[in-house]
Amino acid sequence: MDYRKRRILKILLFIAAIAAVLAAVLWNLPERQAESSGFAMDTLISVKLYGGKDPEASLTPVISLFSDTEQTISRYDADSDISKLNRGETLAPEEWFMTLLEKNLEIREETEGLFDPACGPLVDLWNIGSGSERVPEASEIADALEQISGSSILISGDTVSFGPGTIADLGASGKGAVLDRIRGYLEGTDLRGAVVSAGGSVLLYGSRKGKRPFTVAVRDPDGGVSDYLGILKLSGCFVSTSGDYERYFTAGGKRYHHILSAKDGCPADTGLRSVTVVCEDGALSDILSTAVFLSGKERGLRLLEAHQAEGVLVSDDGTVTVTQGLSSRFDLTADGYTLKIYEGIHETR
Amino acid sequence: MKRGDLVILVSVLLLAGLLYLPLLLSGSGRKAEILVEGKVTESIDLLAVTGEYTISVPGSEILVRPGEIGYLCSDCPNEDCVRFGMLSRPGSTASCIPNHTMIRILAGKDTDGPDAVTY
Repeated sequence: MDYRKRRILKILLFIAAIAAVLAAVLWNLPERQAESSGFAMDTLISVKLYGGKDPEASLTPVISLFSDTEQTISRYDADSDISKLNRGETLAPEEWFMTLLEKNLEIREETEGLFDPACGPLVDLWNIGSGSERVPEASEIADALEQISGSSILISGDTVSFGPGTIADLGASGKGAVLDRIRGYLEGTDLRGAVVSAGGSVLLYGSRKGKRPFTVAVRDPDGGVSDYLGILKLSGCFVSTSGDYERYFTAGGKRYHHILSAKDGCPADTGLRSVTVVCEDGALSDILSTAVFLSGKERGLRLLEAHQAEGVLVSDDGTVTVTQGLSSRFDLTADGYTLKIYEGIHETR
Repeated sequence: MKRGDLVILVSVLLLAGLLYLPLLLSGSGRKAEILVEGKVTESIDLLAVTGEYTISVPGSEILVRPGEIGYLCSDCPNEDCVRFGMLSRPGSTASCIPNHTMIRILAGKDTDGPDAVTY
């Protein structure tokens, strides 16, 4: 090779080296992001926004959706829509609230009343998480169940009213509902991605630079808060979990958790320790995690299938059942569990 | 290889190293933060803690030990915040919802912790 050719080759190599270094550095430069955490809807909230020209500017609109949703569905706010409806008023609420009620009613029907948004009397009776909880008398539970079975939510056009004695409590779907509203807002921004959590309910929106998909740790029902059952790798969806370890109290040596069945009025005892649901609708993922927990494994898996939702179900015998769609997206990391893939209804026959 | 080539090679490597330095350094330590009403009130490098001490926040006492941090006691119903136990893993959080306080361990590098936890 003559001198000139070698010289050109050297220059080219030098340019390539510089370009490679610059590309690597640019690729690794952190993108713009904004983060906030605080308390709303009786739980811990966390907002992480990635990319776009000014992610900071989107924090306030996102956080205000939490307070707005809380003001609409909180039973502890006498001026909220739900309080007015529970008092017997007829309202023409916002569209998202109507949709939320409709989703609740749909699952009530599908679970034949195991899951019931009109479970207010039962929630008040047990009062779990208040510090003044107790095991109610059988007669008190019977009264609450009678009140629930006689309740009605009447939707007519764009107005809604509750029948006499109906006390709705949207605690099992409120967090998912606010995440649905936040996704709607994010879609109108230039943000690349976002991770928003309300308690254990999570919205994964878009993606973040150089890291795709997002990772969501599923809490180990037997461990502490830092102990994970496994990791889900997901993007563009909602994740919600219901577990018997989250809110509970102990009386007479027995543990009573907060997921109450509207059939017998007691904490559900279906052999499940926790249910994680992944789907493309926030309120539905929230409702389904509770409804599957109440329904038990077999019926619960069918419920998930009916809604094209995926799930991770932890049974009290240590079996972790993962639906087909998550089989390559879930890594079981905790010891002492056995992983099973659920491939569809035909598998259980 | 000529001396000039060597100089260029070394300077490219040095440039790369320098540009990566901040990224490498950002991952060291195990930083914990205490938040009251969503605002950071304390920031602690848990790996630099040698003894054991407590920090008072509204409604609760927080225990700090080498490598870990957690709620020790609280005036809230059920002491749910104490049930979180001691935190040591990057990305983990504990909160006292009635008192609006929170402890979190920052994920130093992106690979340290998950993006979110479902529970």
